[in-house]
Order: sequence, then C-alpha cells, then structure tokens
Amino acid sequence: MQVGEHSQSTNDKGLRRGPDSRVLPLELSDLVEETQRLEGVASDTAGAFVAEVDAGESEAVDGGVDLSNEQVQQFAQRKEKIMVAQQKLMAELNEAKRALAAAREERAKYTTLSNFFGKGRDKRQAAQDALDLAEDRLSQVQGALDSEVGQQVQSVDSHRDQLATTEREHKKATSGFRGLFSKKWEQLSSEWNVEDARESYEKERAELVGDSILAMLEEQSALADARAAETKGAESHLYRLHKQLGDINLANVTGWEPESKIGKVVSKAVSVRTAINLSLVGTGMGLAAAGLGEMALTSYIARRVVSFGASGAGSYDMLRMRDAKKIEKQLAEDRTEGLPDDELFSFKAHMEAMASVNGVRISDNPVYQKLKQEVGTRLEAKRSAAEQGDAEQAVELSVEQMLRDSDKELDTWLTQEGKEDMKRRAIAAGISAGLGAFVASGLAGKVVKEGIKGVGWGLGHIGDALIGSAEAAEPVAEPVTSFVEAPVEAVPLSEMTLAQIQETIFDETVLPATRYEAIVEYGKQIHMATFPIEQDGHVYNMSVDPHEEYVRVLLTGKAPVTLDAVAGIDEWQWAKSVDVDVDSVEAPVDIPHAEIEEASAIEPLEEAESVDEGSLPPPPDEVEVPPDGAIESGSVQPDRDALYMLEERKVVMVEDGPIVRFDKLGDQYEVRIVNFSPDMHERTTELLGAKWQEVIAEHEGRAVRDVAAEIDYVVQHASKLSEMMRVRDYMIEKGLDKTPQFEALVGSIEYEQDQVSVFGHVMRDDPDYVGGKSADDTRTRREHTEREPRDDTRTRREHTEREPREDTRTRRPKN
Amino acid sequence: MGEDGAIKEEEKLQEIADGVVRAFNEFHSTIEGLQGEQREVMAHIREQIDQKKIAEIQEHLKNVSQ
Repeated sequence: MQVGEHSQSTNDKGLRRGPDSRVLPLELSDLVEETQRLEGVASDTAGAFVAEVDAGESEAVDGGVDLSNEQVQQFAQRKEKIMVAQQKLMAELNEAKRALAAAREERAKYTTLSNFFGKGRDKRQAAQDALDLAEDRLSQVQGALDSEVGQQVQSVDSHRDQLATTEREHKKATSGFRGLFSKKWEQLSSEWNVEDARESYEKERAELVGDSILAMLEEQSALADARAAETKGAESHLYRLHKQLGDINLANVTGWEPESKIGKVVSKAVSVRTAINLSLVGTGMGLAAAGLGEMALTSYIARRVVSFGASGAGSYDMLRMRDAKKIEKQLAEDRTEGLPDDELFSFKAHMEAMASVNGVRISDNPVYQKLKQEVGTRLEAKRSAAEQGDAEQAVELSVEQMLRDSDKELDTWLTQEGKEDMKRRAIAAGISAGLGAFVASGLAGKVVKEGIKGVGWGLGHIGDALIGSAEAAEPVAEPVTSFVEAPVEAVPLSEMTLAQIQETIFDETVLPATRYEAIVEYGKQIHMATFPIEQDGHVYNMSVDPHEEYVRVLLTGKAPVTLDAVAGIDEWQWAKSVDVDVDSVEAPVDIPHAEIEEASAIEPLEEAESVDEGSLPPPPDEVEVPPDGAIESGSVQPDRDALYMLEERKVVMVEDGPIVRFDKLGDQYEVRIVNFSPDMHERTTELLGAKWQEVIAEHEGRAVRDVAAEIDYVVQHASKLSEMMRVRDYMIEKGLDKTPQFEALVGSIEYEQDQVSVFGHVMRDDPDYVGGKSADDTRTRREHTEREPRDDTRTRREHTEREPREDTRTRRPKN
Repeated sequence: MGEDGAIKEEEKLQEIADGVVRAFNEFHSTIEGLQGEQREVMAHIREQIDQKKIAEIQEHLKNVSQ
C-alpha cells in the first residue's frame, strides 16, 4: 500500500510533496483521516508479515525441514524488526496527529472569530470544523481513558497475582508444624507482608471496579481463579478441572434451557467456572481444603439446592450494596444496641456485600466483629424465647419480616436510582437470578460430573482427584456467604421447609473469621467435618465434632494430603502434647455463644446408641482403635486406611455428618450409618441397599488406595443423600411435594443416588423412588444381619409422621 | 480564513504531510526488505521440502518395484 494511492485520482487539492513525490491530500480533515488510515494500514501490514513469518516457520516444520538455530533466530529477528518499524511509524503518526489537532484548533479559533464578525467561510464549514475538533478531543480523551483503564487492568492483574502468591507463601511459612518450628518464621512473615500485598490489591481493585457490580463479579471470579492456581499450582487436578470449566458454558454441559430471557443469556454466556466461582466456590473451594476435593463442590451445591430459598438473595444482595460507610459510622459510634433487628441484619449484609465489592476481608473489620457478635446475641435470645413457644413459627416470622423489609427497601432504592444504575444492577440481578436458578435446577451436580469427565478423569481416579484437590484450597477467611448464592426470587414462606429456614438463620449467624472457624462452623451445620493433617510425611484426618462446649477431635488415617490445608493446628498440637488417646481427644475450643446453641442442637450420639447397646455398634469415640502405637506423636501409621481397618474388622468413615461403619460379622460386613439421630440407623439399609456385602467382598485383594477412595466417595454421597432425604420427607409431610423446590430437590437426590451406586457396588432401593422394594424388604435385610430390631427403630414413614416441632427438638441440646 | 492564515495553514499541513509520507515510506521500505528476505528464505526452504518429498517418493517407488 502506498501513501495517497486512494486519493490521487480524486484529490485535486492534493499537492505533490515528499521525497518520492507521493500524493497527500492537503485539506485538513482529509489529512487527519489519512493519518488515521495509515495507522490501520501499518498495523495490518505488520500483523500480516508476522503471520507470514510464523506460517513459513510452520511450513518448514510440517515439511520435515529442520531449521538451524541461526534460521530460527532470523525468523524471530524479522518479526522483531517489523514490530520496531511499526512502533516508530506509530510514534511519527501520533506526532502528526497532535500537529493536526493543533492546526485544527487554530482554524476553529479563527473561524469562530470570522463568523462572529460575519466574515469568512460559510457557517456550515465552520460548524463542521468545530464538530471535528470536538470529535478529536473526544477521541483523545477516550484514548487516554482506554490507556488508563488498560494500565489499571494490568496493575490489578499484577497485584491480584501478588496477593495470591503472598498469601500462599505466608500460609506455608506460618501454618501448622512447619510454621511452629520454622526458624525463619519471623523473617518470612516480614518479607511476605500479606497486608501490604492485600492493601495494594484492594486499592487497585477499588479503582478498577468502581461501583460496577459486573466488574466486581468479574474481579471476584478472577481472584478465585488466581488463588486456585496459586495455592496448588497450575498442574493440579482441581486446577485443571477449574480451568477446564471456564471453557464450558452452562447450556452446553447441562442442556439447561431456562425460559426467562436473562436465564437464556446466562446459560450461554456464563462459563461453568464463573458460575462456580461466583455462586459456589467461596465455600466449595474452602471445603476442598478439608480433603473433600471436588466433592465439596457437589456437597455445597447439594446444600444450596436444599436451601436455595433461604435468603431470597437477588433482591437482598442488591440491597446489601448500599451505604456501607453510613452504616459503619453508625456502628462505630456503638449504636448497635438501639438498632432494630431487621436493620441490624441488613447492616451486616451491607458490610458483607461491600467487602465483596472491595475485595477486602471482612473478618479484619472490628466494627463487623462487633456487629456479628450482636447478631449472634440476638439470635440466641430469639431462639431461647422460641423454645418457650412455637419454635417454627417464631423462626418463620423473623425471616419473613426480614425478607419483606429488604424487598421493600430495594423497591424504594431502585426507584430513586438513575436509569443507568438501574439497568446495570438489573443485569447483575439477572445474573444472580440466572445462577441461582441454575443451582436450584439441580443441574449443578451434573456440571461438576461432566467437568470431571471433561478433563479426562475416570471415576476410578476419584481418589487421586480427592488427594490432588486437597491442597487447591481457597483461603477460607473469605465470608462464607458469597455475593451470589441463591435465586433472586424469595421463596414464599409457605413453601420453605424448616431446614431451609434454619439454613437462613445459619447464614446470618455464620461468618467465619478463620479457616478453623469455618470448618467448625460447617461441621456445626452438618454435624461433623474432617480435615487432613500431615506430620513427618504421614497423613491422617482430624474430625471436628462440635459439642456444647468443646470440639471433640477424632483422628483417622487416610489419603496423603498436606499440612497447608490445616489452619486449626493448634488444637491438634494441644492434643499431642498431653499425650492422650488421640481417638477421643476433647480439645477445648472457644465457640461463640450463638454457635454453641447450634452445635448443641446435634443430638448426642450416646443417646442414639443407648437404646440397645448389646446389638448396636459402640459410639464413635469407642470405636475400635488401632493397635497401640499406631497413632502417636511423630509416628502415625500411613497405612491406617480403609483396607487396614477392613482387615481389623472395622472401617469407620466420618464424612459430612453421619459416621458410616463397615462392621465385619463373621464372614460378612454390615454397612451402617451412625448418625446423631435415631432414624439414621433405619436409613442405613435404605441408603446402601442389599448389596453392600458384595461391596466389601469385592474389595479383597484390591489396591488400598482405590478401596479407600471408592468407599470414601460412596459414603460422602450416601451421607448427603441421607440429609436430602430428610428434607424430602419433611416436604412431603408438609404437602410441599408439588413445588418447584421439591422437584429441584428430587433432581439432586437422583444425582446423589447415581453417585452412591457409581462403582456398581452399592444398590439403592428406597421404595419411594425406585419402587421395587418395600419396608418389608428393609426389615428382611435387617433380620439377615441377625440383629434384634431396636425398640426405638421406626420406619421412615413413621418418622415422617412426627410433629415438626418434635423434629426440631431432636436437634436441641440435652441438658 | 484570511490569505495569510490560509498560507500559514497550508505550509503547516504540507510539513505534516511530508513527515507522514516520510515515516510511512520508511516503514514501507523496511517491510519490503524484510518480505524480500523472507521470500528468499522460504524459497530455499520450499526447495528443501520438495527435495525431501522427491526422495520419499523415489524411496517408495524403489520399494514397490522390489
């Protein structure tokens, strides 16, 4: 392309200029246009040449020609030369543009004066010049802005990475035994200043995000990505899965076809990874660190499905965006006690949302801590009061009032906001709604399943996945309540189950400040949680079993995972130092008052087991322990795993609440789920079906790790299934089985059923869903195990006929 | 615009246009030179590729005839 080629024939004003007599138009606006065009030409030409060089290189390789080092270097040099030439030209053209802008400004000034005095050129030309000038300036401003935003994006990218790296390094140096015994602890702490890194990131993020909710969501997602990558490294299983998920949109994987417009947009535009980051990963990834791997995601999804009506989050979250400064001020002035309940809850939500917007850790905020304490105190008071009357009704009223007030405030707020803001927030709300609907649709589990397939994992390698993912944890100091976590539409109270209502209260109560607190909190909600501990190269799991005033720590050996995942190591250290039986250590933990209430809602195992001690397995803290010395400080047996315990007559799995026990009786094993409620015994055969004996038989002679992983997988899903079935029963009992929530729940139950029998070992034959078995069959199987029926053993149907209040009270503390 | 102003502006524009032309021609010369080099190298490489293919075909024919 030669300069002036296009204008040579038409430009009669053009003058022949330049060393090679090329033609350029000398009308100012034409020259501006031509300069801009040349920029494009230069860019295209340089790009085309680079592509040509690359293609040549590929052609040589494809053709089997070995390029010499010199040749390869020459290819690279040619590309570099053209880029340098292009940059030089661009600099010259920019200079010309500046000169042209100055000339135009001069002309505009003159034209304006001429017009004022009624002289000179026609007004139309003058107007055109003024317009051109304005456009020029606009273009300059836009360019400057683009450049600034680009720099900001670059800066926030770099600070985000720096934060993730620093967090990882700091955690590595300061947590657990490595931290305790590291001589360089203090030195490293000062070198890896997490606070500085965080501050830099927050500053950049605040500037980039501004008040854009969408930008905030994107940045939130990016930070989660960076942390996932940094914590484990780009090669980890979970990270690969995580990365892979980014290439899959929801519609492709799930076949999800929402009816609403926004739902359609979300299903096509939102990647699975984004969905998980935004709505699930905050807690899901945290749980991954607890050794649950991607199962944590399904677990969390399942819990969300069960509780998706909990907070009516769309509108509620929108509300949270408001007036954080004002609220903080009010709180800082110590006026919490005078605040009405709904305002208090609302303020707390505001602060959480603003923390999300700003990317800060809310747990660092003393005002927030005060607020959280106040909320806890009030909820505790409410619960105490509720126990005197109708508990369910009291809870319902409280939640209903909260949601109603929130929606009302939101309406007012939207009406007052400008159109642009409304539009922007509506989009964000739509995404929130879309994601919420996606989660509620019961397809989220399928996404994870498909995602696993997508990265080439056979289910047989699920053990590896669990192991690999254990390290890939996002730090859990983030608020558990993620910004987008539930559907936008508040579920009418009439359609909410008691479990959902309780979930709402839990969400209001819970905001862990530390990873350990998060685990305890989660354990409190699901009765029990485990996380791995590494010592001297050996690994075992620590199970946290929260009680009224303490946390009992159980230890079981399992898959190799790293110490990095454990922040609550101090309690473990305490247990070791007093040299007690580590299988029944009771480590005192300072649990906030409000949490004690929740923790104590778990029915003690002792009561469940006390009905017929002779025919029942012992409670978990009396479970057969490994031989002396199998677990002691510094010499944990790495092979104390599932197979080891199979040989020793028993396997005890502690996952997600129930304890699943494989007891060997003669030449048979019995699979039992021992939970803190009596009806869980009844569920054992329902959940695991008649073929569980074969499961055990099939394990013989197999690799230890495979067996452990498979059992672990099945048990986790059986546990979740059990919890979900309880909710299902309750919904049936309440006549809610025609609701969309029920359908979603059933979808998830079906998914969990599939998982329970995924290895083909375990059949599930719940009569309500499979139809092939009856309660009589269940009894037959029980007789087969030669155990006497328990006095308090009821069929599930009998259980479901209980009054809801009674159900509530089974979860209350026994004084 | 008055006559003096118009002349001044025209001179200025000519100066700018000269600069633009010079810069672009320089860029253009550079790219022409590089394209020439690249073409030369590629011609050589293609010749090698052809030779390789011919050798393969000959080898194949030789095998077939045996």
